[in-house]
Amino acid sequence: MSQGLLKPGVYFMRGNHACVEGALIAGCRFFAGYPITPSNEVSALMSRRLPQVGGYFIQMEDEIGSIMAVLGAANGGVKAMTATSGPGFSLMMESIGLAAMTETPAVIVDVQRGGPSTGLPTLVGQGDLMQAKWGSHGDYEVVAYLPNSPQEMFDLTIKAFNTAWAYRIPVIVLADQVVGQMIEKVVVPPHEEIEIVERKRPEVPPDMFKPFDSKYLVPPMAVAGEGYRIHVTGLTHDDRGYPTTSHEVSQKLVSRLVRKVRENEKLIGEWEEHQTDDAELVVVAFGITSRSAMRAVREAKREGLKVGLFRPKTAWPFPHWALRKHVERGADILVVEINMGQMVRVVKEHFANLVKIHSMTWAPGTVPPPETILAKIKEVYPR
Amino acid sequence: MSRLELVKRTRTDEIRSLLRTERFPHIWCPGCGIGVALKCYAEAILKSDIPVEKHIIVSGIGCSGRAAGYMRLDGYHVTHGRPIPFAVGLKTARPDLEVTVFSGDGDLLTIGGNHFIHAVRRNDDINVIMINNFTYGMTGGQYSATTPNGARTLTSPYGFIEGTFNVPYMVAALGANFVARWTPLHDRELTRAIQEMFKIDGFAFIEVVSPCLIFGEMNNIPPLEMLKHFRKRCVIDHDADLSKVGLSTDPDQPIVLGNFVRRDRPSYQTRYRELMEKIRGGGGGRG
Amino acid sequence: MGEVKLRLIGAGGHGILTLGNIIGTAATVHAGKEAVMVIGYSPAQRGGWSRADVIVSDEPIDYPIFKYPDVLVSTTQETYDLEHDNVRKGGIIIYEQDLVDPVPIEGVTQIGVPAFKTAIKVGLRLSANIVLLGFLNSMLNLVPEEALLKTLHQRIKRKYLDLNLRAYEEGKKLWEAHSRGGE
Repeated sequence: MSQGLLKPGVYFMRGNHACVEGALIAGCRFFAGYPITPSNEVSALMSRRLPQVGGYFIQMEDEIGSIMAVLGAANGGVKAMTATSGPGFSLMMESIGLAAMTETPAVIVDVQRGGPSTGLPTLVGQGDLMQAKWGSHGDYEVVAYLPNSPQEMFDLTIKAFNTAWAYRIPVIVLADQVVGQMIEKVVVPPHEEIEIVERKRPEVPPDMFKPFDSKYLVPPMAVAGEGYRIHVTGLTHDDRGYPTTSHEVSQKLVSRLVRKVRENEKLIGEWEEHQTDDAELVVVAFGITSRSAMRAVREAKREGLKVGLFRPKTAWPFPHWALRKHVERGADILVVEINMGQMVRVVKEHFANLVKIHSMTWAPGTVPPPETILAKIKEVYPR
Repeated sequence: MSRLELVKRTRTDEIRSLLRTERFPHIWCPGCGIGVALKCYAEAILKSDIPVEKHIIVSGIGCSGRAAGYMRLDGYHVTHGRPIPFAVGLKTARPDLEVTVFSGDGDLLTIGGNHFIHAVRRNDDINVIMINNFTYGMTGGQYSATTPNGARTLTSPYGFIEGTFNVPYMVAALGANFVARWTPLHDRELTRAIQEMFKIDGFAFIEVVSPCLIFGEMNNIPPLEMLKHFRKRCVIDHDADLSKVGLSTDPDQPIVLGNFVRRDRPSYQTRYRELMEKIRGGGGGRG
Repeated sequence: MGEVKLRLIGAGGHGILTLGNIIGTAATVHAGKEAVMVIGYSPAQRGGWSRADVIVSDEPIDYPIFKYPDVLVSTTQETYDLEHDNVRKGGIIIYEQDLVDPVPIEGVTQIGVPAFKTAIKVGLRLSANIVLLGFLNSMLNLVPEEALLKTLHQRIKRKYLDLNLRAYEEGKKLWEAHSRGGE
């Protein structure tokens, strides 16, 4: 089973490569992708590694084809993923909606670059945060992870597979150009210590099986060729999977699609905090920006300011309940991100008028340096 | 009941067992060819030696796209234009399945054209049954990439002027291993052609030229007239010069049918598996 | 040793990224240290330069990006011109002696190393980066030699290993000669 997988040990590894090795250990055996900077290292390594571990690689004609091939493979019961960046992520949106509607588990790695449009292909951005959640039409929920190191490209890719297969949803690894391309220490633990989640299988015979049985929050999943002869459609469908325009069925289905994540947000949501206990200002930052912010809050503390760092590891669900503790203490918030103010909207949604919420926006295609963040901290620090 | 009738009845029951009859009546207009083509697909499945549960149908959006929902198979009704890449992913990951895409000209050749040509180029091991009814029936009859020049549609009220795919010519040129064209009036030939598709490693394609009431209405051809039209114009020529089989509205032009191309270029999936065996056999990748 | 910020920069093909990777691998995999490497390229796809910013540290590294290196290694005039002003006061520049014409910089130690000439003498022009590795590590003691040698044994193809190990030794000797001469 573990033949060909990366052995436990310490590696000096690129983020995009750590993502591949994590995916393979998580059981990924199918990858479809299309060339795009700065995610190319993912497909390049996948094309080399997948045949070594008995998996399948295909380079598709575009990103729509890539995500659709991933959904096809996933419906065949094979763990599958794709990797892309902004423009390709935009092309995948309609199909991400299909994945949500058909409850097809899939992992999409988006190595963010500067945007909009073709933008800055080789430079860093964090502007796909809202798109990751709201990009496809209609109501659905996804989960999006925010790695800030090659180690987390490994760890959170594995988690992404587990979450996708546990909840039957599309899961996004929302990386960025620096985290994807930087090289750092990656520790691969003994494989038996790594939790791997598989789909919940049908427990009843085909004539009793309902593929979208609404008595479950996450129905067991039958895959192609198992004899259940299921119908899967992007149309609004009943418990049998049959299209319907019933108001009642639509209400029930769409509610369940969002409840899968909303009711489990505290199980799924992850974050990390540094020196927040008595912080009067909490800096919220994610991905590569969190590492610059970390340097800045350390320096601020050295200078006698009570400043902490709150780092969401999941953008969606946003771990608002954890940040709330600091809001209730009366700490102000400064959100630093490489976009024109996306995560700050989420923070405001939860805490507007409770404390001061400051925003540091940034879009030159670089990471805001620690000294710039420090200057902003000093500017907004409550006194 | 005569022996022949008995055989026929059993056959009908078997075909019904492959349909989700609880979903009937279906959405197709009386006189539409899609239902006949679907029956031929069901018949071919029954005649194939591949177990029914290994047959998978994938459809896109449109009238023909509803086919997946009426077959009692594992059926996937996906986004508009995208059944081919879905089928490619499914077939690549699950070589044991017999994956058939059943969809229309708008879905497969218009919005989905890029996926189509690259699936043929890669020679993906899937079957594609494309109903060509010259129009987007479900949205009221707009023109598609297969609308014949001059034809009136909802969006070409003065006659279509863009240009039309000669489908078998194009698919043959792209390198498909099997290219055929039939109509619902040729159900036996169509069934046999589908059976043939199941045996092919690589891209296998059948264009089913189908009467469409919506298209007929806009071009002043009553339903019955349209069938007569088809009957009169169809010519079977397996060795036809494909550069000359493009369809037009000219009643004097033949509709050339046949099993035009049979090749055995290995599929992407076969070549990939060979590659994988070579790599794994060579001891590669023991990390 | 604390933390050292290295900027390695040179023409594509000079083995700059390999050099950075060897240092980072030796530090993390074989010496229990922390290291991070951020790569940059000139806008040109071919014939441009490549840059590896490497931090080696005893402590976890919060932020991997820096503007002002402690040590700059440059193998071409173009990249020297691009970067020599960024080296922090008290820092060091190591340049390829036969390709770079240095300018005087106050408060920065500059050392020319004949990396290519030495590599050619060893018999493998491509090992110039390993000559620099030998020089650099003897000078800075970034990682224990044992860790570097382990990395070289793992990374380098067997048929080039001996030549590279010789290049490494030659680099060390160059530093020894320099430090004797300098005192």
